[in-house]
Amino acid sequence: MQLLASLRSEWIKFRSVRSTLLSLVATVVICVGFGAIACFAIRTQFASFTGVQRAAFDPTASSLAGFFFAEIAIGVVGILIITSEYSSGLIRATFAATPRRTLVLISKAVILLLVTLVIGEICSFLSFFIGQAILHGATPTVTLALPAARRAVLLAGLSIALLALLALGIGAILRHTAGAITVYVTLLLVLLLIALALPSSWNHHIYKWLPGVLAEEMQSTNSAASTTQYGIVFSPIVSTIVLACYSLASLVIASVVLVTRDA
Amino acid sequence: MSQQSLFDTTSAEWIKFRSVRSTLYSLLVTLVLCVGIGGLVSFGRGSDAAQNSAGFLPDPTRVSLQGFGLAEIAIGVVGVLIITSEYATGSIRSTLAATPRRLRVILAKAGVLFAATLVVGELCAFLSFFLGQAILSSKHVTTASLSTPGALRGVVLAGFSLALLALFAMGIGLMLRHTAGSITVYVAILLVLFLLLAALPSNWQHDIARFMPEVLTASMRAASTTRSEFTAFSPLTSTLVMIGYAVASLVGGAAVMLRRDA
Repeated sequence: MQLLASLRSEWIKFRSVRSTLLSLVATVVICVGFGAIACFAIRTQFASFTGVQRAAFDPTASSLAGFFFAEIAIGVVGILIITSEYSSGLIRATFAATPRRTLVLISKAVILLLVTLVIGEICSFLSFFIGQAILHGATPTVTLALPAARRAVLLAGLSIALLALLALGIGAILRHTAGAITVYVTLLLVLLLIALALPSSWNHHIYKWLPGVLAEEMQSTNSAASTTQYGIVFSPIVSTIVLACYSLASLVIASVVLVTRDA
Repeated sequence: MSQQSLFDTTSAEWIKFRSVRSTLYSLLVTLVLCVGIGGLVSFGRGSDAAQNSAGFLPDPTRVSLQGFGLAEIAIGVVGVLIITSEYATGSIRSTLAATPRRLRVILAKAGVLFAATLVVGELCAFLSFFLGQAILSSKHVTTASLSTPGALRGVVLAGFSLALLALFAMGIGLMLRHTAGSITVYVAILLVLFLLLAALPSNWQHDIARFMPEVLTASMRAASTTRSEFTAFSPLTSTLVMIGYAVASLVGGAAVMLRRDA
């Protein structure tokens, strides 16, 4: 009962702020739009691809090329859902209304998971269909009848929801918008750039554990653990499990500090 | 009451800048992470080169400056916050009541930001360089000194690139007035565009890549000019393009700030 009431109040806070809706719409538009641009670019260039490039061409991955952007945008949504309460002071009213702070965090996480899962799946299915339609006729294309493509599209949407939860945990731990976004972006993108600058004997051990790589592998059509130039990465299913553990860990740490700290 | 000068406004902005603890922390974190990661990469690449390529490293200056990828993000956050934090707290209204000439406020803020980030940037660059070269030398692989052709230029321009990025970020903050939105746009321009580029076919990449801030700043840091997988601009041209971006962003920010409510 208490959970239901808490969920309802979090849902009202989430949907009644214009910036939430605008951020989510922007995420979908840019993600799908960039996927379309990438597919269009490949369509015009495919005739001049070499044999190696043609063999490496993956129509599913090309249509999901816009996910890099969606990953950042959705993280900002996940962070703002908690840090905006700290910057406006609303968090004190929230905790006065619901003194069980873990319940507040759980409610926020549930609302965020549901909304970002829907948005993530919209991003991935729209990207996939529009991308394949653009590629059609000029390159090989796939349909959702192919099990690997179906899994890649479904997990791409899920990766967005898991990253949003990871970001929520970071926001709850740091309580500041700027700091939380910086840490999130660092985990997702900057670590990747740093890992690539390290010698191969090192980054073979590091690369596959990076959140950005895990999210990318979830979108892979390769069912088994694939070999990249940065070593063997996890299979899509294992990547999903590892990323889910990161999100859970971030939320568990957040709930511990939330309970022990001032608001 | 006498007319305020630009000097008065600048000293007011300097007080606001230095008296907030988070500014100092952010700049310290930038410095520590930049030098630390530069050291780590130097250690890794040095060990690698000692084992696998008979101690040869193509551009040791660039290796020691690899921490700048992270410093670029951190310094952008400082540049964004110098203006968006005033909008978030409402102190922008006191600022503009005290100094109604908004252009002067922008100039003063940009001046303080530029001076502070240039000092921090050069500290990052020189410390990273010396630490990195010391580590590479302990591995007995190729090292550079400041007298190596291009090395001094790479180090000085690396520091300068941070100051330019801070101004660029401040312009974004002026235009958007919101911390979260501004940082997201800054990061998107710096990193996401760069990663998205990889999804495009290679002959599109070459035409676009050289104009990307991430590629421009990497070219500014390079001691050798034949570095890139992309056909980058030379370090000096890259510097000019980056100056152009910083100025354009500030002019855009100034244009909207002069017309808008605070």
